[in-house]
Amino acid sequence: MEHLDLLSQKELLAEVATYQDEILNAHRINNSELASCWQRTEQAARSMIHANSFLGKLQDLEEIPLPSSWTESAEGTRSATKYMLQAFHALQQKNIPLVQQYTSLSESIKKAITLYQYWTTRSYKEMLARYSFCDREAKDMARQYRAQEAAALQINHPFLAQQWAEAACLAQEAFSKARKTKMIFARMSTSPLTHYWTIASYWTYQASLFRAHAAQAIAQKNQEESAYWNTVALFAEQASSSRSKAAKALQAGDQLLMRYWTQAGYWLGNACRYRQQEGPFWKAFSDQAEQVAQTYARAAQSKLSFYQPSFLRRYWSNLALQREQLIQTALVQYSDSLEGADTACNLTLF
Amino acid sequence: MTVSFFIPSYFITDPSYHAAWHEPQDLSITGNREMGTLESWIYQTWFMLKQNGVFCSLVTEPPEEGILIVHPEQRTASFLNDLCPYSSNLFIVDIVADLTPHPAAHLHLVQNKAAQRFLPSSFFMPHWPQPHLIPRNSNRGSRFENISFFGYHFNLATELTSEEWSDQLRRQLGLFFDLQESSAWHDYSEVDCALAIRDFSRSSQLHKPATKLYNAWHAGVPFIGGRDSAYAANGHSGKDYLMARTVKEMMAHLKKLKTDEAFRSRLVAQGAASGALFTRSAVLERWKMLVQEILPSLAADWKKKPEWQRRSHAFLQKGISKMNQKLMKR
Repeated sequence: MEHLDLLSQKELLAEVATYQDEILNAHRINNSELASCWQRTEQAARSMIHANSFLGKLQDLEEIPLPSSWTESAEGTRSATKYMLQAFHALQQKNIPLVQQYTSLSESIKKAITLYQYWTTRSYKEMLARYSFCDREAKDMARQYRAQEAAALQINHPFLAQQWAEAACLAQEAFSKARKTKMIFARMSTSPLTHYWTIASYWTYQASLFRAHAAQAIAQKNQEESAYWNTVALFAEQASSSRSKAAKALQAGDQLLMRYWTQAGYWLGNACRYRQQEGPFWKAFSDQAEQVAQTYARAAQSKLSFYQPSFLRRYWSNLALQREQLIQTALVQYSDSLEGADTACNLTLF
Repeated sequence: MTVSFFIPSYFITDPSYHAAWHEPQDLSITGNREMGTLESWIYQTWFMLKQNGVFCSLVTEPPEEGILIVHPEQRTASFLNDLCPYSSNLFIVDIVADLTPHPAAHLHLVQNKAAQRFLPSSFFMPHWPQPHLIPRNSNRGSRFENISFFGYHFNLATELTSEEWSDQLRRQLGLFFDLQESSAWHDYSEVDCALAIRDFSRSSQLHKPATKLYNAWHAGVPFIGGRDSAYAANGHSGKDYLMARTVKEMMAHLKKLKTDEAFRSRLVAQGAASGALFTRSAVLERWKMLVQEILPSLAADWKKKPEWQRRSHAFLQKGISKMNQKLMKR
């Protein structure tokens, strides 16, 4: 797949457009399995390309949550194997046209899976690069913040000391999560758990930095700044917490709960990023993103509660989806307004 | 009477232990990794006794006579469940550890002092404390920042594994809570307090030891435990450790430890004094006394009984164990 790595953004989009042809061909021969494989591949590719192009316009947009790529690849592989077996049976019956048909289907599915894995691996690698931080640095930060806490206690400023203590705890937590991620990666490098813990530890690290900024603003008696950094820090803390819960849900095998917490964490991360952008629209986007996250969190909490009926969970889930669609539409419109008439890129966030 | 420690043959053929079997070595030095029950109770004990001049054997088959110390795990000591009495001249001692006592044993070694009161023919033997323990770094001085749990996450109350609790601890007290990986269970250098609460129920956890308490004492850190009977049996709540029955109580303890340095120092000092009874050398002395004096005396008394009595006792014990097996399968 090295040739794909060398293509420009426009060329990549043209390559991805060929996947559309594959989907149409699959529908033409009434093969829904094949169509579904190519659809997933196309989605993964578009998401990755669009995230990068979006990044070019708006710094550091929160990444697209990773789909359950591992199970989908396994399903595709099973389909390809099934068609190969059918080709073999057709060969035994000496039905050559049928052999060719089944072989072609199997090869097409295998190609779709290979490309799907390529796109998901590529977006995963880019995500990791974006979300990595030096864990040793986090440990040093913790030490510095604790020293600041002690200094604040010396001057009898308990509120300031508390802020530094929180920043230190978050830095230690970031180090601890990064260490856990490395251990999981060492055991099974392709595990989605690595993905979840990487993002969780990243947001904890960010929260630590923001708390430190808040503490500095308090020391300088700048109320506006300290309120701003406090808000941003809270978003980062909540994003990390949601991501950690998603990882634990994944470990427990609860896919639905994992999805709710992932979405909550995703939108809290976005809320944090948007709040840091300048411009009149970004605070509104941040508030909307927070609302989406809170709705997903309600859905997750509803799922965890034994006493709440399932229709409540579905209500929160549907409401979260609606709010998500609203903000996505608003973001697309804002993005298009930046680029003028360029609507070549379809937004397929998932 | 010869004292033998039973170890299953697969343990010996395992390449990682093969060298240790032929050239006895302290397995605890082979990296700071988790040790299973066989390693920590059977192999380690045999090795420590042998190193200190106490004659005892390590066997893969039950001998015809003598004293046999065995861990009664189904897979490893299945001979205990055989209906036909293998020998009426064999005095069996089972190391109960986290399992239930085996009916075929003549004496049960329990790791919880409180369990001794409820189990006839039992003897309290504390588990070995963590090997190669690194105590709290004295350079940390009066700092109280890091709270740690040393164990498997399923042995910690679910309330304490949640993100909400970590957030609460951070926001209210500025403390960091960490679940240590097994590779770091020996390292207390950066720890200011050890916490071990299995749950907030009223369960006395009679089958569980107080090893985490001993380790905290040896490491020089305050310890907050749950209602475990083992902690209460070996320690004194409020003097050398703190007991927390609820999350609220635990937060109150942590707050007191953070703000009252004198109280913290007293707790640690008292813990060090209490911990002197449970150091590796102290536990070794207990094993020496057991193997050289207590067991031979008990085995001799048992051997004085007529053979028919010993055989029928062995047969009856095995019948009970067989019934037990069937009930467990249901």
